[in-house]
Amino acid sequence: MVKKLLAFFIIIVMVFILIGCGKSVETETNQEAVLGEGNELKVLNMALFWLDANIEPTEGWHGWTLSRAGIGENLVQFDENMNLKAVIAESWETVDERTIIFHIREGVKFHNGKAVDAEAVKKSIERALDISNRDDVKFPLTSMEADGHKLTIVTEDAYPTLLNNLADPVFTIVDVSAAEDPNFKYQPIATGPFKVTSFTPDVGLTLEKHDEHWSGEVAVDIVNVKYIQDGSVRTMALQSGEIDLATQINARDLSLFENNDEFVVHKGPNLRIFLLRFNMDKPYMQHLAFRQALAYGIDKETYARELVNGVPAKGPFTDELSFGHQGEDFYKYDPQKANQLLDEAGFIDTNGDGIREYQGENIVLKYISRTNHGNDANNIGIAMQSQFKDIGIGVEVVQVENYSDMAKNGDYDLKWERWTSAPTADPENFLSSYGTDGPGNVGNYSNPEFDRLYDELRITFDKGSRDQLGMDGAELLMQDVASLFLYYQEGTVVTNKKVDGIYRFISEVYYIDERVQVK
Amino acid sequence: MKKYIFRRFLQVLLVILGATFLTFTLTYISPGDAAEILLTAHDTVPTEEVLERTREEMGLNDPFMLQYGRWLKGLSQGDLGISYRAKVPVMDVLAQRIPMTVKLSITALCFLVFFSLLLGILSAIYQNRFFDYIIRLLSFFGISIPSFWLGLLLIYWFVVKMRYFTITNPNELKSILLPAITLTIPLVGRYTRQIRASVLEELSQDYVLGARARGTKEIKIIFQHVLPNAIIGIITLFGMSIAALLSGTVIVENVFLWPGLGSMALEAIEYRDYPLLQGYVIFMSIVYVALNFVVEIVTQYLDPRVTIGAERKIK
Repeated sequence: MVKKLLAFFIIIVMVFILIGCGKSVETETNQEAVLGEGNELKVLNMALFWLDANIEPTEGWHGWTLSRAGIGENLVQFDENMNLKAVIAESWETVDERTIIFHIREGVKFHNGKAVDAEAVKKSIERALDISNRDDVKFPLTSMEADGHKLTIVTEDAYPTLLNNLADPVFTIVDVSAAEDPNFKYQPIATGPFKVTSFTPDVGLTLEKHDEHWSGEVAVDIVNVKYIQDGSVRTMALQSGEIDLATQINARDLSLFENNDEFVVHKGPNLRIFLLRFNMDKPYMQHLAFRQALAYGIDKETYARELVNGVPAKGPFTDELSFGHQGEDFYKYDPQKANQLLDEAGFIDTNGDGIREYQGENIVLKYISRTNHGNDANNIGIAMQSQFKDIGIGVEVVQVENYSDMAKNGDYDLKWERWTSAPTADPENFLSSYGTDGPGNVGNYSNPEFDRLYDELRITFDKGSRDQLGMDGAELLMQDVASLFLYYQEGTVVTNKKVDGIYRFISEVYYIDERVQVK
Repeated sequence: MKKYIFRRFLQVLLVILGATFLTFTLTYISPGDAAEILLTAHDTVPTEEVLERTREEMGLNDPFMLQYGRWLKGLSQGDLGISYRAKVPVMDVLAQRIPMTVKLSITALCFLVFFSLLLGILSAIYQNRFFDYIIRLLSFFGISIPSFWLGLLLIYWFVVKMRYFTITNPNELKSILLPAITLTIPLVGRYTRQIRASVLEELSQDYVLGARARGTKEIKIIFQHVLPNAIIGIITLFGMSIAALLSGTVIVENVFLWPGLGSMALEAIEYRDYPLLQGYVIFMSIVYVALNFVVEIVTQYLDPRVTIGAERKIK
């Protein structure tokens, strides 16, 4: 009997092994069918670390998937170095502070074959302004006139960031006449080099090339966009050859691809800044010397390099941006200087317990982060706890699932935040969160000099002047220690050798475009 | 029997009402604002106006009882509401996720039943011999291994190194094997030991001695006499394990990119997606009550002394 059972067991195991031994990438092999003699379909498999429930561009940040996968295009976009480039618009001219004329490119077609003219673009922009919940990129429109391939946009007041806002994926140019279809939010009709053939929530998308793309022949026939949330799984999928391109690879996994002839790694700081916002309602936070001591008391360099594999931050904007601070960090790690500042400002440890006091109470800073900020936030908190001990400041590290109530009630001293600091290549959005009544200014930071700079920025039109004001504003925040700017995330794009024409966009709003090729 | 089924139905309703109220209350009082979570998902900060408008659209500004009452009214009309995050009817989201979870659970269950019975019986037959030690050692490892580590290890060997399987095509037939095996191994470890203990207990009974004395074949003794008695106590545990599998397994789903109920429920909690969470709770209430019912029927079939819907009687 036992022999029979064992035999049965072995048979079952064999069956599983045989199933497993089958050719692994069935779906891809089907797609790699031969079109004709010597004409093999070119297939790109790429991973996205984020996928929303649908890809309707006017809803929240859903449009990012369209731009990342080369499905949607705007009038203008930012290239890999954050410079504005003409896309649907072949060129534009600034008539005055309120008026811009766009000349729509000839030969642009929607995915359904309809021609794109100024009228189609106008309807698409109007639709976004009408239904999008993204107030941060909407602009006050006076009129929009379409005449053949000429589109004239007039804003109510001087609106310096109009071009930047129009580059946001919310304003992806879509065929409005197709938007009535309930399936539009899963298969939007846009103009990019790839069009959606299927969308499966939580799984991914399948795209095929847009034969009538304005740039000419697109070199990739099919793109399988796979939603892979977990960084380790993205790494393994790259290693196994299931995907050809992935972004946001865990730093500790990068060594698997660097110095490996099979893969190409592109990396550098992106726009994500990790910072600790102060609760300025706490009386000790009002003292500049106290904040400066906190800045001197942390070793950002070590945190960034050893704990999170990021790039140490000097200010809110990376120096790759035209308004990023180009000089040295104002406050480099110097615990002695921190102690001196605290002593001079009267923050003394009178009872000898190692913690300085303020109005008779030990200063123990409450450091809060969310669980979805991950171990990095917690680890930095613990490192800071240890380093602040050297300057006589206590730290209580708290990580909760959601801290919005704590933030509202002011129940914190240091609040971990993660920002995309300049998604439209302009400093205004981020700096607004430090304006006295600015959105996101939960710490109630207030500085009349900064408010003045910010107000000037809001009405300044010229790009060079805006950059200068952005830089001045950022430097003021750094000098005044409005927050502890910790590190920038390192953006990574890893491809295998068969993929070409891939660039690392600082903004991370784009991953592939019409330049992508599969060998 | 009809009376019993009616009683069961009432029980389902009560469980649903209790569970959904409890879930709604707990999610409501837990910190966090669904509108804010939704709008800050991409690391940017919405304006207060947008937040307020979104809260209004989601009905979050209404008092707690009004929100729950509105949801309950919808439920009575068969409407589970619209998911905050997916912005589609909850029914549609569940309809996508449930088949994936059921598929994975059934496969895992098949492995579980087959391997735990096989190894449990073999271990009992070879008690305190080499084969028994090996199985016990393996089951010990099985229980101890963390699922995420096992899953990553299996991916590393079978996907990265040997390239037998893929992980990015959940609809491919064989892609179910690795997550199912990951789910099964800890359960097999646990059940093998339990089955071994039960079989050993039964093997020491007088009726087994009698059967052997009568010259009954060993295989007949095991399958016809020992096994039905040995598994009675384990059936209830099996029922609960099936329910746990059907509730979704977050870690395995995340590691293997399996779009099942576990990760959906976690996301619903994370995003404070009340309608979706309530839909999940209803589904799980039905699963648990139905499985209890099935377990009772199976137990009665295996042990006729048990009568459904009545106190346990000894005939």
